[in-house]
Amino acid sequence: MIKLDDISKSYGGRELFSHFSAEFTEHRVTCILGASGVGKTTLINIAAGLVTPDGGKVVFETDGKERPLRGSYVFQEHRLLLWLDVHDNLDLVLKNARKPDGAFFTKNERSELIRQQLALVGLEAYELANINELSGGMVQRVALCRAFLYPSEVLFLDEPFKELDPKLKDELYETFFRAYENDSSKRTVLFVTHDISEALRLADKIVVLAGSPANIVGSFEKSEFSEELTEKIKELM
Amino acid sequence: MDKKLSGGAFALWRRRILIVIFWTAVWEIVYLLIGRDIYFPSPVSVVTTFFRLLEDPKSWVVIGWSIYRTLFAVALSAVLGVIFGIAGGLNRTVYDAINPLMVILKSTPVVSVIIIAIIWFRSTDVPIFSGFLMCFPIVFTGAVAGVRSADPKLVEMSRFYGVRRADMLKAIYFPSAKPYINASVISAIGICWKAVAAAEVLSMPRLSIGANLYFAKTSLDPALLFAWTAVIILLSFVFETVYAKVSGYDKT
Repeated sequence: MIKLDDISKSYGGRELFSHFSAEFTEHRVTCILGASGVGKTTLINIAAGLVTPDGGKVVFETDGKERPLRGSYVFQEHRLLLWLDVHDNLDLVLKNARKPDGAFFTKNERSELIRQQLALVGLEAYELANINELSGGMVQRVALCRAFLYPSEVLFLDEPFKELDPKLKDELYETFFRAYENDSSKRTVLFVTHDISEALRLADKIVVLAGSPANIVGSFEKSEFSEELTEKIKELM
Repeated sequence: MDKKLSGGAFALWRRRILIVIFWTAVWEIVYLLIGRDIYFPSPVSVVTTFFRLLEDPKSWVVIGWSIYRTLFAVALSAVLGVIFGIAGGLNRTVYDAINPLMVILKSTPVVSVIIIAIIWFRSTDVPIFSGFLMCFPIVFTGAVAGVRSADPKLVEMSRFYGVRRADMLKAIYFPSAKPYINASVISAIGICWKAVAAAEVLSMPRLSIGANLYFAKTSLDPALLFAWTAVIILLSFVFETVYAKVSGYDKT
């Protein structure tokens, strides 16, 4: 479980969060939904440890024990190295990663994992391709691949499909589900989006963020997802 | 398509030749106006002396020694400049410690460096030391700027994924710094040729272009002086071009 406890954060005199608390359950996909500029990215960056809050703390617990969080992240931009090929981009994050037993991966193990993960997202033929030879959708699939490949407990996604057209988005949702279903560790996923249909499609739980400073104004389980919910969420946002 | 290209290439060469003819004509006119070979040689006498120099095997030994000194100084500046520049780009304290020295070196007249070096070193090593001191700050500054140009989003990503510092250096910082380093090495080559020639004139190693420049002056042979100067300009151009080609740096 990821606990955000009494978080406060301001940027340039604007208070984004004030005494904000939330809990995100393990092994589920939680979508944080909110209008642009409400503070969604800041919130997951605080959860991921990329942004330090002005006040409050983030706690990561598994089996009731507090542990350091090991996360992977799919950013809004692909953040791949254009001068390396697909394999080397993926290998870069695996070199210093540890297996569950604490050991490092051998070169052969890394290559095998990369091949398997690329096959899962349908990019096995592009292992040695340069990033700038790939289309926008393929590049984002490589970024997804990197996040799933890295041994982490939590996966953060910050509107990774924002710039893509609807057809490509559909393909990437499928890719995401395939990778998620195949993921033996069943990671905790925090997914930020402003797109209600995307949230309804991907999430096990939707958390709606609104206001200034931002607060959770609605929280919905998968069982509640329906056409009417879309309208309700729109009103909340 | 090929026809068009070769037509374009022909026009380019025609333009270049016309430019050379224009400046040679200007040179000849100035020569005729001055009218004294001892002050200003004619283009014909310089070109003749230049080719006479190249025919003489002794000149090649002299040129070889000057090339050795320049390359040694550039290589030393490049290696140390890149090492210290990357360290300075990554670490503010290292930068703050080294930068004052670089600021001083950049403003120090080359002639002061040469005279100090004459006191400290053998005549053959003076040009190497002087060239190094002139070029090291250039490469250092280039490498620092290059490291600082690395995309902070890529740095954030690699930190998040726990990428080792050495791997970040190899995968992110060095590729980002490479164009800056190449540009600074290319400008260092040009400056190094000038510094080495100046140091050779003052320290007078037996086999050096600089000593030959000095002899040309004392024997009142300006055509020879111009010819040796042309050798330096040509060598500087060749080394810059070869480095740009080998490193894949686009000079344009």
